[in-house]
Amino acid sequence: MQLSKRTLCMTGMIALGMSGGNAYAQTGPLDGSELRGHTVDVVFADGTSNSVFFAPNGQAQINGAGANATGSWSVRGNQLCLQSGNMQECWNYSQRFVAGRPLSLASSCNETSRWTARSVNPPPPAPQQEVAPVQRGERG
Amino acid sequence: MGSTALARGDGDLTTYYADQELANIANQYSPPILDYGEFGKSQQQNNLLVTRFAAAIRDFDRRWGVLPQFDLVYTRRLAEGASGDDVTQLRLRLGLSSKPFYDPALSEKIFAYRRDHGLASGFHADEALIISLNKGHGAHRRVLNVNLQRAKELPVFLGKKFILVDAAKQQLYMFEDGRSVKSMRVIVGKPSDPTPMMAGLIRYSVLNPYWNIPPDLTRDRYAPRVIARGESYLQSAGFEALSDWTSEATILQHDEVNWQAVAKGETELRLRQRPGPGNGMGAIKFMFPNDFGVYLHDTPGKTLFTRESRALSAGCVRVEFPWLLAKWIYGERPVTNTLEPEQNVPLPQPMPVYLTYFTVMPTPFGLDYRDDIYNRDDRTQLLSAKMDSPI
Repeated sequence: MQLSKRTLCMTGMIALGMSGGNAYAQTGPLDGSELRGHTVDVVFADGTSNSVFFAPNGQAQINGAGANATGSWSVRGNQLCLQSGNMQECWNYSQRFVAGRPLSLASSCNETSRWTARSVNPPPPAPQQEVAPVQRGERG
Repeated sequence: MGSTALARGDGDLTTYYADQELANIANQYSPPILDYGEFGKSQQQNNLLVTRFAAAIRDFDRRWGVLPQFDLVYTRRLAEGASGDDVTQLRLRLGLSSKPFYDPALSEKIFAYRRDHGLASGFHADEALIISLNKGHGAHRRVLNVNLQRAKELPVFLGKKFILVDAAKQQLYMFEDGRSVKSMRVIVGKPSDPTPMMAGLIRYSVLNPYWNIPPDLTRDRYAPRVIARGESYLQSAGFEALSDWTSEATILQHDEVNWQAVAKGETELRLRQRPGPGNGMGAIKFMFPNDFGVYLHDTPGKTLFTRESRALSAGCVRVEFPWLLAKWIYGERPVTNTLEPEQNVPLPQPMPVYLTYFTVMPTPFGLDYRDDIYNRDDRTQLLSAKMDSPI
């Protein structure tokens, strides 16, 4: 998949990097839900850029200068992964995307790129307290 | 208390947000309305603890994540000068060349391993080292991940000035402009009454405080003592029973209370301790409204701070130098011109306070491991695994 001189690298199906830390990060669960149905602009270190549409059904539409590709996207642990055919690249994903706020993400190909979501879904409502009891007095 | 807090955790395995205002900021639902100084204006993506953990984890992986992972059999205690097949295996496991000699290179490697994995300092190979190696890099890494996750649960903007209590370290830190400027020992909850992980805002302090005793402590601890020792116990301890939890509550006489029913949990009683030298809150308590009844406060039991293990309270955080803390929070020592009990001193600018629990913390001198006194690490790993749901 040739996209603006940029290809997904071969990494097999292994998601590298942090795992198990994606429960509730700064603003909600890190499951990629904020990206469903939205487009992210990606600028690579060499200056080339793509846009990635994250379809709600898990498909990804990758558009570069004069080249387009389809694939799939997924979140595994703290990795956001794009896959097309047998090619896959995963990026470190440790916080939710915020519209217009660029994130510098390191990939499993040892490259850093700049990701800016054009828009995102709002974070899910935080769960209401169910465990902490209403406390009278000071426990000491 | 009836807080309407937007909760983001249960306080045990995840951080509980006690204050709606702080929760809003943490969630980035609304812009900071507190004076968060330069931090509030920045576009930083991680708080300083996350940044610190991320760097430490990268370094940890670089040092230890690339080594061959195979189990060793513990044969004997080894030190420099030893030789044999077990030395060869140990060298290979630590990424050194295959030879049967315990040379200075192996000593140095083992010293570094022990330092980075929380083992007693040394150049030797003992059973603890072999057990640690056999756990594998992933197990050690998961502990770091658990603690990273705890750091991530805190707001990106921790505040220009904030208080961080680390219950695992049993230490309080005063942060200003991104660095710890003062620190003191604290007494935290005992394992049966753990101090929750919580984020709140200190909104006022109370001088000459009452200690309002939570009903469960009255039931389990104090009602039995009153039954055993009679009215004199109430007098000597400075306790008074009250009719209810309102500001109009009246003081009850000893014989107006059915203490047996209180001890059995059939009747709930408001008990409080009058201000004075023996008051459990000491001379000042720092109030950040929350549903746990957990606060920072002074204590009459100063000698307990000399203990190495200070998990002794019923969940509150007793601070070693409350007036130093008060002066730092207010800019001057808060005073009251009356001896009347329960004198509130408002804090014009609420102060963020984070009750945290880090069983390992990156420091300039390496990773600082602490005992998992509340047995939270394994349970947090299980919780994380359960919530790890790929699309």
